[in-house]
Amino acid sequence: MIARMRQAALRTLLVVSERPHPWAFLRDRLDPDLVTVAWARPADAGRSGTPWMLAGAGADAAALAGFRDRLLCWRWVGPPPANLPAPAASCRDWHQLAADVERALAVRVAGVRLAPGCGLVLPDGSYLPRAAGLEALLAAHPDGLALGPPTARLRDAGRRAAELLRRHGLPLRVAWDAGRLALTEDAGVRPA
Amino acid sequence: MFAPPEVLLLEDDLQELSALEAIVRGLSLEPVTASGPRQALARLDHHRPLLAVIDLDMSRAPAAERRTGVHDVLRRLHARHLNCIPLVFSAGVETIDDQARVYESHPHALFQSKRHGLPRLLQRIESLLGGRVGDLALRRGVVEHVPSGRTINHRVAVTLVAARRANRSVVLRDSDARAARRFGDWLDEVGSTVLVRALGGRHYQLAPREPAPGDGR
Repeated sequence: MIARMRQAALRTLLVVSERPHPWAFLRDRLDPDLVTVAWARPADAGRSGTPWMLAGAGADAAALAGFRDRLLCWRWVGPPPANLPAPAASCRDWHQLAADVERALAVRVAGVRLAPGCGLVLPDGSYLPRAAGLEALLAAHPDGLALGPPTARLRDAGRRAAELLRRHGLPLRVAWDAGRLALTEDAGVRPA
Repeated sequence: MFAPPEVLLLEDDLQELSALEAIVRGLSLEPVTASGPRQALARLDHHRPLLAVIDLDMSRAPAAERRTGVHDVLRRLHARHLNCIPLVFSAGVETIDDQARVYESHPHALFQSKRHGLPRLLQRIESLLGGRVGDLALRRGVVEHVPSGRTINHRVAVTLVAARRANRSVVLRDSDARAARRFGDWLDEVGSTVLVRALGGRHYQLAPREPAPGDGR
């Protein structure tokens, strides 16, 4: 019955820290229905699949360069290191970060919200799978995802997210603005 | 013929192993016992357990059994038995560092401290393999739609319900994906509040059926 897993299927918060305590804290606090909490030491973090959100601490971010082209939310406890692939929202401690993640998991824009496990629940109650970019954008609403230099791959990811919105007739747009990629609601259109 | 779901039991204390075996049989599940890591790996060559109850401390196992370690068993489960839920039942999972060591061998392992005894383990197994998902219940290795009383005993159905109880997805090959779709059809037919959701990449999970807007639910 079992096939080999290529990447995590469920929405994942990757905790990057030398010690496992933040992982255990977040694992026990966050709703396991909505997010799986994974852990990697800074040196090993590059081997992980692309998470929905990455939360780190410390000064070592060299192994995270592989996430440069991916749409994901970045959070950092304490001052973020200079070589992070994208600007991270800084949190004072893991408690503040947990509260921030809880808020991100609960975001609802134009009737769209995160589905349990992964994917999105659309305003009509239908389920939209394979929408990792939109999941990250939704979590970052309203500020949007702060991105590094816009590479071709990042632009493609933004286009794919915009195309999904269009194909499903959702009253949302993907907008680039000052190094950020954000979901914006179409003016004058109300969700179904 | 219906074959009940299997539970791998790895325990070096033979008295405890036999107590665990009784607990598992009491739940109408099939125990697959191993008193050491080497035996457990051999069992995994031929069995596809739904749950693995694993003791970390193998100090009472014969020396030959300890040529491989419990972490080899956990790594094997993670590599080849993705749909098996590992439940580490040990005195050595009290601290976060203990749990992190297990995590490195199997990132989806669940923990149950031996300090709380067998009754608590029984509750934990029951909650995983006997709990409810929406209007479905897993009872004695069979999935029951509680309102209608109708049952289905296909292993894919049982695996999906148990995985949902552990907040995990199930990874299926094509033939089993067909079984998952048939299970989905069965859920439609009985009017269940639960559906089978394809997450992509051969991953499946049970999910609550979203009420349509305005249907008053």
